[in-house]
Amino acid sequence: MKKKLFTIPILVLLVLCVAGCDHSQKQRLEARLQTMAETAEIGTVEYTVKKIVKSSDQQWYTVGNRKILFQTTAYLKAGIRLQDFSADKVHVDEQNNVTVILPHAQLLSFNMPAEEITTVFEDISFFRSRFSADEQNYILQLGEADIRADVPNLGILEDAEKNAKEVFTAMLQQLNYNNINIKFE
Amino acid sequence: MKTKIKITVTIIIIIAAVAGGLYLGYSLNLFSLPSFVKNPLSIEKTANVVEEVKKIGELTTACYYEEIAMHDTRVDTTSILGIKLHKKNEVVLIGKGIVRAGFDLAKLTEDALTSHGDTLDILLPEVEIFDVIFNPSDFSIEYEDGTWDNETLKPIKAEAKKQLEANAIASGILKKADESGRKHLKSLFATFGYNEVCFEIAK
Repeated sequence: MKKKLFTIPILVLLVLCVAGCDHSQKQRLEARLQTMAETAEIGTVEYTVKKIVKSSDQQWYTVGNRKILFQTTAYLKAGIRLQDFSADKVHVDEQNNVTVILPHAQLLSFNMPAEEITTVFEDISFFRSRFSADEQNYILQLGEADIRADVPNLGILEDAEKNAKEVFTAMLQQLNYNNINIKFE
Repeated sequence: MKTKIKITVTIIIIIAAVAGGLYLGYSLNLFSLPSFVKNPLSIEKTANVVEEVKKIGELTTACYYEEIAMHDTRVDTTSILGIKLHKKNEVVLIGKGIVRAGFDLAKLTEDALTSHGDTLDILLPEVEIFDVIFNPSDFSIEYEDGTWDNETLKPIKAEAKKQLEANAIASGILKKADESGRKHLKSLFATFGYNEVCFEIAK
């Protein structure tokens, strides 16, 4: 009877371990994808955004808490996608006045480099395990998503349009246009 | 009566042993609990602080995408009562990176555009790589054994970035960006009535 008592939890653990270890994942190493694409985007503004990413994990079945805090930096570039621009968006009149209708600015690139992510603080109580690399990466993904969601409130798109207006105006001045009118739609 | 007590005690011991085993296994990261049992990890609301605003003029004309798999092992040595213990740590990551290249129009000089009739001459800067990007959402940890964290993964991610940039250059991103840039600039200036656009690269 005593032997059986110890056998049951060991069996439960073994079954869970076997189910948890997926060695087929290693086979995915072979998969590799690479592509190259043409694009036409004018980036007119770059924002450097700093964010503290803070997570605290307390579950109903755990004893103790665990906390982690990262300092992150993200570089956001916004501007105009020229793929959305066509000849019918340019109107030149007889007096050499030009009106250009550009598409609205968009976020063109988002870069949160790993080398600029620092773990500032980690507090793990005695009965808890450390945050795994996967969990830490998931927390950072949440931080990234939070910055992306905040893009409309940062003012980057307005700045990108303002700068795009300046870039196009300067370019058209060099081409000797008289009155230059840049609009967005 | 005695038998009843025996059965009850046995059941309690089994439940405690199973619960203890499960908790130990979970604490040692031997398995993870199903998502409906576990509250997902979340972050606290913190400010997104704009530290710098920079005016740029980057005409991106080619992008290179690649999925890179990285595998690394590390042996940690600890000493307990003079006995050296070695522990192998292993990790497999997959990263989906982007390389962006094109012309930096901020480097255009004041006399970079000159026109005569319907012909336009442009003095362009050399094509360059603007960004090599791997965001946290571009990484997935496929296999993790032992102790790995943000700091121990940094050199692996840095190596992936180096490899991505080298692969992009080897695949001809700069040539592609140059050709694509000329094509798009031609079509842009054609909308302003320039039927011929001649390019020269500033040295």
